[in-house]
Amino acid sequence: MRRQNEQERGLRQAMASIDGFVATQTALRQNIVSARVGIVQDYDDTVQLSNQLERALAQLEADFRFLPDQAAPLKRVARAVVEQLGLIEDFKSRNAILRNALAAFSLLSAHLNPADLSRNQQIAVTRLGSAILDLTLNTAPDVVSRVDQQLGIVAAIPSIDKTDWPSLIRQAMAIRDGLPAMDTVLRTLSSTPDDNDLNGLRDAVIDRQATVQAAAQRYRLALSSISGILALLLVRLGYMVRARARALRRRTGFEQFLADISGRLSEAAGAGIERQIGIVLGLLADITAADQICVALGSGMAAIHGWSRVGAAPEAGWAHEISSAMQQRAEASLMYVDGASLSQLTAERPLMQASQLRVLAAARRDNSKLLAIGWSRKPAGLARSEVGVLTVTLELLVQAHAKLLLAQDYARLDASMRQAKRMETLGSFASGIAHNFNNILSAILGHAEIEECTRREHGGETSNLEALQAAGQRGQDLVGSILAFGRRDISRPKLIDVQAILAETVSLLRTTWPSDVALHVDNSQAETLISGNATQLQQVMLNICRNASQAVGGGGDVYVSLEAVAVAEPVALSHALVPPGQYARFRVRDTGRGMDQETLNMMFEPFFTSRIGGTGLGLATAWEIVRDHGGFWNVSSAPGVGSILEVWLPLSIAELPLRSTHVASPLHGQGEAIMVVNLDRPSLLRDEEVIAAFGFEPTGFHDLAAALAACRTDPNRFSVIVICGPCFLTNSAHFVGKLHTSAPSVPILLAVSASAELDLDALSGAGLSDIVGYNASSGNLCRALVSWARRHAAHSLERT
Amino acid sequence: MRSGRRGVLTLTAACALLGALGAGHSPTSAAPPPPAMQAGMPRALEPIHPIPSAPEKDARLVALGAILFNDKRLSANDTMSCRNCHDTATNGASAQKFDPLPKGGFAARNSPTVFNAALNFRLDWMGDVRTLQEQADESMHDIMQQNAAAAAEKLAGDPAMVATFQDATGHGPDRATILDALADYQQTLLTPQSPFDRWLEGAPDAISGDAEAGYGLFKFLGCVSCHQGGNVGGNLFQQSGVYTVLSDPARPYLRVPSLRNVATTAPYFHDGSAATLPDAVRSMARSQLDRDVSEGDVRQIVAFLTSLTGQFQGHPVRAPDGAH
Repeated sequence: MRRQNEQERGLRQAMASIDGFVATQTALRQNIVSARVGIVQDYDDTVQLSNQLERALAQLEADFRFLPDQAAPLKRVARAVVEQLGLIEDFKSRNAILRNALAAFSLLSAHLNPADLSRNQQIAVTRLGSAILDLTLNTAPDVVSRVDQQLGIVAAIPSIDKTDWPSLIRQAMAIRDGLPAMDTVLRTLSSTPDDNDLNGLRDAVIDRQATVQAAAQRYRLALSSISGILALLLVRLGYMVRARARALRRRTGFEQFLADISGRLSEAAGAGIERQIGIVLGLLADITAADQICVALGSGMAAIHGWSRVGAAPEAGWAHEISSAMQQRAEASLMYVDGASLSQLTAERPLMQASQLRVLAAARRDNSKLLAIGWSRKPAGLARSEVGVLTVTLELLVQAHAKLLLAQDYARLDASMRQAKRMETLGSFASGIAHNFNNILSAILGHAEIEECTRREHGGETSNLEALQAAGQRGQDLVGSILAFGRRDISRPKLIDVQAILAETVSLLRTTWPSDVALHVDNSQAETLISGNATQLQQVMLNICRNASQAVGGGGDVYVSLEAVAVAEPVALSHALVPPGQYARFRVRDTGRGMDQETLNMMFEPFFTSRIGGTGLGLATAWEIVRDHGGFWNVSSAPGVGSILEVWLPLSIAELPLRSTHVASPLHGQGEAIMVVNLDRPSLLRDEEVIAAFGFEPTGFHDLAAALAACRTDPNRFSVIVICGPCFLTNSAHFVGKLHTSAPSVPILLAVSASAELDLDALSGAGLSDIVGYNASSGNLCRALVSWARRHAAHSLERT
Repeated sequence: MRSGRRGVLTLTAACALLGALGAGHSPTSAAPPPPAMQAGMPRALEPIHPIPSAPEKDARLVALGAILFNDKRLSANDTMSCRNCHDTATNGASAQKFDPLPKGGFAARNSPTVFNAALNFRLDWMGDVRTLQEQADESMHDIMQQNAAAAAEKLAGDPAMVATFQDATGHGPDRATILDALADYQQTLLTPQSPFDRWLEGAPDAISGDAEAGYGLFKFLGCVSCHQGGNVGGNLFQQSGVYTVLSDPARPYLRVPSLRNVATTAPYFHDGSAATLPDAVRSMARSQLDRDVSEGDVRQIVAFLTSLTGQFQGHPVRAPDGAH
């Protein structure tokens, strides 16, 4: 811009120089003409103007230095100036002489005395004067030749006395020579051809001015465009800043939301978790202005939580549809669809179509956990860029759900632990006293029999003694039951067919079955093989069915069925979490009086009975038998409606004939590597033998440091770690923690005798996966090992 | 005679007309001023003007110029200063026809006066020189036979002179400063207050009746055609000898000299060929105007020319002692 200003100033200056030059030149020419006609009588002004013209030329040359293309015309102008100034000098000299000659000629002719001249002479002088007068007005060649002609005539006249005749002729000659020359000088002066060049210079300046101005205009235009663009950018920036601020505010909102729900879910415990998940969904709905929310947390889209602003909350079908939509769109973890692509998605999905969504956002994990939000109007409360918040929310919910499951697991673990303890205590107690008690009863019965014989011989009354004997007999039966409960037969398990056992049991039942209770049996199942003890299983079936018939009382139905069940994902039953596998499910449903919650809680407790005359040992014994077979219980009941009792027994999975020699336990390992820790060296050897007998590859450690080192060297070497023996129980939590840190993916089991005092909180906090009651019977340990080894294998597979 | 009378009448009329057209001088211009011209009013329409006042110059540089003008070291052998040929105490020139040179021999032409030289449009008799600096340079080289650069070197060896230069210009002696100082000094060498200037400015008694009559003749004869303006000449070139050969035929044109202080600057002409002013007047009239001027007219013209003698620094310009 400054350069442009300078250029414009230079151009103005150049224009002024041209004007100054032209003005000076004009003044100089005027001065010359004035000098010619005698208005100006001295040459001071002429000299001054000549100098001024030279200075003007110098200025012009200086001012046109930045227009190099004008050098040629400028040079011509300079040449013309030199030429003009030369002509002016010439003019000055000639003008002085000419003026004097004219003055002298007129003076001399005036001084001629007519008396001295002949008439011809008079005429000649007069004609010469008139010709010269003509010449002063017009110096055309014909006038000059007329002057020459008259001069010739006058010159031919001989000198006349008393007159200055020769001088007159000389002056006339000077005029005749001077005037045309003078006119030529003046004409040349006034027609010096620099006018064109000056106009050319002027045009050049104007052109350049136009160029510069155009450039300036362009520049200004560019400037204003730039400022316009800048202004636009500024506005855009403003919008961006505002949008950013808004986004930041939203982000802060989301972060607060996440912190809030994270706090809620982590603080919640037990059943509170379930409630907090509901609250979290409400909060999520608030912050995203959602119309529909669906969360699937459990395996296989189980544990569905739904929320809806209006109408019915989404159900599992919804989650499945969305999950399949994500699969279809190959969006593994996050999806955000609206507009046409959403309609395309909903087209084949009736539930989604029914919910009339406009926008759908979803996060998914592990193909089984899903959090989906739907909006039935636009714009959605959650931008495409913010969809990540769903992932985090889902993660938090999944964790909470896992915690819930863990808590449930823990509760179950705790319950089974306590149950095991109680049973164990009772078993020892019963075994201890029942034998003595049986001896006492035998003594009573013996004496009573002797006394009866004696009385009978004497014809006395024996009815009291008979009652005594009957009671003693019942006492012996009871003791037999107690002994059966405490010292169950742990004979080698055999491959047995549950279907056959059930058929036999039913025929047994029918002989003593009350006539007012209808027994429906669905035993259409084909061969159902398990590994176990047929007598014990029959006892379980008999117990359950008798309980059912007694619960029905006067009039009702009992339905008995057996079927094979395949479990793909762990299934939660009332009293257990069933690991995946094949099961024989024995099920008894009655339409009896049902059980209240208290009864449900106590039903497997020994000596708990709701029936007068009951021993309270039937279901307790059944419980133990089912557990010994690696089976699970599932009980549901409602007072006044009836009860359902299920027993899930794992089917034998081996090719039985080949394995028949190896069936040491209901289940067995697949050669998985098991770390066995026992500080007591002889016990360790026995543990290793037992575990090897289960079909695993045990590695024993009696040194804790060596065990830790082995875990650290290869954290994935072992499928399961099992700690046996009570020797280090005081600091077991500490050791478990260390093991867990070294091999975080490997489940750690604690196999303890029932009498051990355990700090369950500390252990589970340290990373303990399970506690197994481990004494004379090692079936529990085998089942736990199989279950956890499978789980570990499944996890490893998942991870890879 | 009727036709003869008519012819003379015609001739007279034609001449009157010619005169009016030619130069604006009529034969009656020698008559006293017209009644409209009142005493005390400047005579602005005359072809001669009073000397203008000197331009403002840096006094220190002018003073340095004055010192240099009088310094003999400016000549080849320290024998001559400018003043040798241009004595500002008298007429700004010398009384010599040709002045002697430091290394022997004489100048080629008569020395013109330095007074009012600054008012000339060209310098030197030939008028080849445009500026006072050039003139000083050429004069030092040609006349004082030592160029300005050599003079500066010489002066630089004198601490006193170096100090003088320092005071005046802030630096030591150099060629350009010498020439500038001399030029500026010469611009102050004007001689105002001549009787004729005072007459022009409105003092009717400043010049004698003869001088006034001589001025009339000066104009009537045509002298004023060349000798006009503020410097009474000095602003054009003219053929030397229009009607008779007067000077070197190889250089027929000379710068018309100023006639200021002409009465004090004998001898005259570039070659000093006219010893006295009347001689010069007669010679000029003959060669330039093709006229023979009567003794009375010469006397009156000389009286006018004498009234052109002005004053320098309050003292009238005068002929040097020993001039005749």
